[in-house]
Amino acid sequence: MKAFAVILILLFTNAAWAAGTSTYEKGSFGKIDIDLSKRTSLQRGAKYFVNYCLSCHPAKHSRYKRVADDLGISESLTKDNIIFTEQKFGDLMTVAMKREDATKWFLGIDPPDLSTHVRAIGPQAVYEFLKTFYIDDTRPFGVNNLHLPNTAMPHVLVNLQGSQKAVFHDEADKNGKEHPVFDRFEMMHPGSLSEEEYEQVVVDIVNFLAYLSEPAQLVRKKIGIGVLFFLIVLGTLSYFLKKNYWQDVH
Amino acid sequence: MANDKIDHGRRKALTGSVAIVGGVGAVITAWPFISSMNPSASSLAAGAPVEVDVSKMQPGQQIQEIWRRKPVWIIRRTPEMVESLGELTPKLRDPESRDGQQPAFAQNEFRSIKKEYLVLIGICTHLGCAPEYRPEPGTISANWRGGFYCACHGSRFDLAGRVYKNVPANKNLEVPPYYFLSDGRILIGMTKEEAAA
Amino acid sequence: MSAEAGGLLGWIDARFPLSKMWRDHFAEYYAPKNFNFWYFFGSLALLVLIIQILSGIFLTMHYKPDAELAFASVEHIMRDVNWGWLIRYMHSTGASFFFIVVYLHMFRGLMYGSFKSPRELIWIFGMLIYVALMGEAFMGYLLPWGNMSYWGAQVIINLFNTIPYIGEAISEWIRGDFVISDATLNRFFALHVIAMPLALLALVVGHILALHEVGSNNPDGVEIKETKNADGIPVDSVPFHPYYTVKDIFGAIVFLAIFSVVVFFVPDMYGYFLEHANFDPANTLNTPDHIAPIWYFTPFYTVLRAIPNPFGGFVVMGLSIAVLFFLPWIDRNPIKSIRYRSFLFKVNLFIFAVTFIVLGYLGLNAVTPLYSQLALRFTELYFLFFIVLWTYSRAHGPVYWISSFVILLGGITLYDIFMNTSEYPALIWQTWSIPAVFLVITLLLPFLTNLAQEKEVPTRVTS
Repeated sequence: MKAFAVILILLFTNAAWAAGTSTYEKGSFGKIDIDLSKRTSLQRGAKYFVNYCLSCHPAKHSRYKRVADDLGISESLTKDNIIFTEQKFGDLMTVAMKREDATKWFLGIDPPDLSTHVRAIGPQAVYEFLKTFYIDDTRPFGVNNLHLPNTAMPHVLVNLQGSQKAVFHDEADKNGKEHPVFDRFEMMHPGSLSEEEYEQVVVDIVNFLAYLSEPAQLVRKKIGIGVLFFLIVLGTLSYFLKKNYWQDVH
Repeated sequence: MANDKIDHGRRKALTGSVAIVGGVGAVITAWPFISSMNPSASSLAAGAPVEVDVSKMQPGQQIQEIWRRKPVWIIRRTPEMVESLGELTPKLRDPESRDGQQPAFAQNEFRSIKKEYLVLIGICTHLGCAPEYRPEPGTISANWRGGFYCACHGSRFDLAGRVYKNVPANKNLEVPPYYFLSDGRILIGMTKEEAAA
Repeated sequence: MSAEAGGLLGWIDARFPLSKMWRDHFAEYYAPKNFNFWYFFGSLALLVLIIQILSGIFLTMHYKPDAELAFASVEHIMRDVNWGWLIRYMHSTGASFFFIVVYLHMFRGLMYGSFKSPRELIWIFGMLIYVALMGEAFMGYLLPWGNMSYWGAQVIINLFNTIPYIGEAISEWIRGDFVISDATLNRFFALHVIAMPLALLALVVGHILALHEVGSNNPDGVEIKETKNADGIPVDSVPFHPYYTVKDIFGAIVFLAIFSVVVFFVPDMYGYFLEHANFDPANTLNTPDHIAPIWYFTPFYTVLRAIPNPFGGFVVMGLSIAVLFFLPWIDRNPIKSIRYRSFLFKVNLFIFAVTFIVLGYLGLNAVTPLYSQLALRFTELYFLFFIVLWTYSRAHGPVYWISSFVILLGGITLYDIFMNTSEYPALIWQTWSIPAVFLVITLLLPFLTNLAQEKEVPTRVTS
């Protein structure tokens, strides 16, 4: 029995160590519900993405044309509203080399490529990341992030969301050591959007990024249903064929 | 074995239907594989129409662009060059461009939209060598009026890309689809009709 | 048997044994008539091999085996190539399904004693296929050049470092560099697309030729060739074609339906078939939070981690695969099928199946003190299965059972006393009970109860 307690404590403390960098409960800011059938959400997400993200984060495996075709945005609309650089309609969504170098020098890291990275970390992580920036004067850009503590990224959506303060309280762990634990956010300087409007912006961006991670998602399930229907028909026929032949065998 | 009880008609029908439905499935399954060998989005993007600014070209000058990984030449012909075209007719194999080597808009003496600007694909119609632009009269032979000369096998073309008689090549140089976006800007790779569609 | 054919077929037959091959391997290959569900997996393995070769050929047309280009070329396939996503998902899903099918096929062999005389060579060919398949899958996993590809390969190849004296030289030779690099990627590509597929095909031909030479086993483990009719055809058989061709076609379609569900609806299988960390490109400076091999390797990965000494772990892992080759000489009980073997044999085999799954589960997870002890215990169970199997080859007296019990449990206990490095003594003794209970059941019950009683094998198949 004592051994079991040891195991439990060990498992528990292990879990605490693993979660040591984050001081809030994952998922406590809501769950993102990815819905790729909402085309208008994807279109808005694309617009936010090119305005707020693409200047530093590339999506270098994706092409403007593919996004435009998949999201039902015309070539001329894309050229006017989505492509801000000298790039062509069929080009990859890269960040200009000079700009990439500048960002790297400025932040000290390469911003991850958003055409694949979101699939690696999952949309929920991006959703929480975009919602949990808070004022922290010890950081280079004056903001920190609950989801990704000490992130190098500035809060690019601050004008929309406004800047919020994080309130922590201290909690003692099993060893009696005090740790700050996240309590709540307090809005200090409201942004141009209400909380609900900002939530929608985040949902649109994450929705778009989920699409961008795997554009084939838009068609894959539809084709899959057709394939399964076909296989059920063929399977039924072949079952009767098998049964017919095996009447011979006794 | 109770062979007498077996319905052979039904067996035949079932075998046939499995074979047919399965065969249809196999053909449909083959399609993604075959289709994957067509030009990909990156090849299509690389082969997208190319915009060229010709407003700063000097008369007689040639510039080269790449469209679909092929060399495309643009030549701003001088009035003398344009004039010379009409005099060559008896020496040419296909002076009226009857062979479908150009979009309909270029089936004329100049093989171009505007007399001044010639747009050609710079690949010899004989075996695919790259001809040279030789505008100076009298250089290739004494009565050379200027044109394109393919050093590989000696094919000759005039300043509209029309092939001479008695040379290895038997077709005029190809004119790609193109149109004028404005006076000084050409879009190579698409006709005006295609762009409008 | 069949009349000499005329026309084109006759012309060919005079020059190439086409009709003869058809007769030998299909129309007049007599298979037992009582194959059950478990006998689908042989033909299904062949189907997956064909899927892999076909999809692989088309992936090779677009993939670039270059450290600078590989990751982007896979994304190019996923986005720019017409239907590229489908072909890639077929290949990645096919890899996992290959192992699912092969594991079930091997388990069938264990259940019905298909490796026993005269089928030892079929089993050896099968094991060689399995080992070649593991090599093929391991090298294929590097090709997408994702971060898990990179670090997984790094860790596994570094295993060779543990070999005394020559280890480092060997792993450098395998990599062609001091770490996994472009050179490694290039050679893994060559081996993955040419060398291993050729070896696999040759081994599959050997496997099938050996099978057709001696004939198939069946769920009753009865040799059908021992009861023949006047024409010399086994009474309990049916010609493979049309009976098993139509049956296998049906099986193949059911399989393809399940396969399609994964390909079209959950191609990453929640991170088990395509690990999420692999959607980030290989980063030589940044290890994924948790490096786990792909699921079909994790049982052996757990065995590796169960032994604290690195070289020891490497050797034991090698043994865990090598021991399978010797199965025909370990299980020498003349009864082939599980149907007529003792209850305790069934218990042993069932626990082995559970053990393999638990080992696989542990290999997917990060090491904790509890998990590392469980890894050790289930590694012990893995090897004890074979020893118990060996003792079940024939009847023994109480002295044999008791002394086997004492020697095995004593050995395990001595290991725990002198070599178990866990910092939690209570954990050691609690998990010690796992092999102890196993040995009580498998080695003491045979003489304490009649659970080791075997059944009489019929002379003809039963269904």
